[in-house]
Amino acid sequence: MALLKSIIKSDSFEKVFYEEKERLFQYASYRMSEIADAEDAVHDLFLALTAKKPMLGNVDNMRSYMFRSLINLCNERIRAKNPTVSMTDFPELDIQELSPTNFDEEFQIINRLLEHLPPEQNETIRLRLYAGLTFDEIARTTQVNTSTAKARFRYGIEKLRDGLKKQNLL
Amino acid sequence: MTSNNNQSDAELQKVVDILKPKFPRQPREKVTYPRPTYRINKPFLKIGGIAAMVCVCASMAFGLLFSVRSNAVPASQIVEQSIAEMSNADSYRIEFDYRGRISSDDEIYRSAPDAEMVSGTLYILNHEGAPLTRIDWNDAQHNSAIWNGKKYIHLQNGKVVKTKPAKPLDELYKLLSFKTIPNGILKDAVIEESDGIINATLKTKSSGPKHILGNAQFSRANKRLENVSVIYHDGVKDLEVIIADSIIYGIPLPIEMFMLGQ
Repeated sequence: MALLKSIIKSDSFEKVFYEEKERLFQYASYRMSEIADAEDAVHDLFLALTAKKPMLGNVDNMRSYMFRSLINLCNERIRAKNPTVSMTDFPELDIQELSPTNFDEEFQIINRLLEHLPPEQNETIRLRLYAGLTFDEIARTTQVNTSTAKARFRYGIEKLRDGLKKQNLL
Repeated sequence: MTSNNNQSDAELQKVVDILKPKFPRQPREKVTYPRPTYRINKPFLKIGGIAAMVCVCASMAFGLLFSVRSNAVPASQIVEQSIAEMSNADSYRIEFDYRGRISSDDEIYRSAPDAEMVSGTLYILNHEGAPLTRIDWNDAQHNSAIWNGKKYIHLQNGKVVKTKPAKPLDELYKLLSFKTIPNGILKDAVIEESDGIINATLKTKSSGPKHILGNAQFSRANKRLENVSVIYHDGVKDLEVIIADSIIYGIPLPIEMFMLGQ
C-alpha cells in the first residue's frame, strides 16, 4: 500500500507542474532579467523533477517542493553570473522610476528595492507578489510557520516604506 | 491612533502597489513539456556528451571489429587507422545539426527534445598545447561562441556581444582526440559492414523503452570516420538529437578565427 501511494504521488508531479507553470514562470521572470534565463530555469526545474521522479513519492507537498526547487535554481543561475551578491543600501530613486512604463523598467525598480532587504524578506515578497502564493503556501515553501511568513512580508514592506518616505517618495 | 494606523496601512499598500507586477511577461514560445524525457545528463545532452558518443562509437567499433569478416584489409584495421589519425590530429572541423533552443549557456544553444534542429560548425585547434574552440551557429543572428584559451567570446553577426575570462574548453578536444572515454557507456554494441561502410551502433542503458542510440559510420575506401548520429527514442518515436555528417581533421585552421574580438 505504501508503495502504491508513493507511485501515485510521484505520478502527480506532472499534474502539479502543469497547474503551477504559469506561477513558476512569473516567479522566475521577476528573478531573471533575461526571459531566456527565466524559461531555462522553469525548464531545468521540469528536468530535475523528471530525473528525481522515483523519489518524489516521499515529498509531502509537491507544490512547495517545486517552488523551493525553483528558488534554488534561480539563485544558482544568478550566483553563477554574479558570484558576489550582497544586500545594498537603499537606492537613490526619483519619482519617475516608481512608475515604470515597460517590463525592463519595472524589473529594474523591483530588484533595486528588493536587493535592499534581507534575503528571507526579499524571497517572501517575491513568492507573494510574483508567484502569487498564499502565506500558508509561502510558509510551506520556505519551511517556516505562517506567522513568520506574514511577519517577513510585513517587515520587508515596512522597511521599503521607511526608505521611500525618507526620500519623500511616498 | 486609528488615523495613524490607517495612514500606515495606506503607505504599506502604496509600497505593495509599487512592487506588484504590471507588465508580466509570457514565455516566448509555447512549451508543452509533453512528457518527462529521459536524459543522460542534465541538460538533455550537452555538446561534450555528444562528442563522447562519437568517440565511444568509434572506440567500440575498434574494440569489437576483430571478428568481422571483410575484404583484404580487416574492418578492424580500417577503424584502427581512422581512430589513430583522428586522435593524433591537431585540428578538427565538424559540421553538425543539433536539436536545441537558444539559451544563456556559453554554447548559446542548449539541447531540448521539443526544439527545432539548428546547424552549426565546430572548430578545434590545438595551439601550443591548449585547445582553441569555436562554434559557429547557422542561425539568423550568426551566433558564434569562442574559447581562445584566455577568453570566452560571443559574437553575433561578427560583432562581440559578450566576452569574459575563461579557461580553454578542453573537454571537446580531449574527447575527439580519444584522451578520455567515459566509463560504463559501452553496452549492446552492434557492428555491421555493408558496401564498404562500417556501422557501429551503441545503445545506452535504460530502464524502459526510452533510450539513446548512437551510430558512427566509417568508410573503408577513405579509412575515415565519416559521420555520427545520436537519436533519442522516447518509447514511441525517434528524435534526431545530433547529426554530424562532415568530420574533417588535420586541416589548417587560422588562429585568427579564434582571436576575434580581442
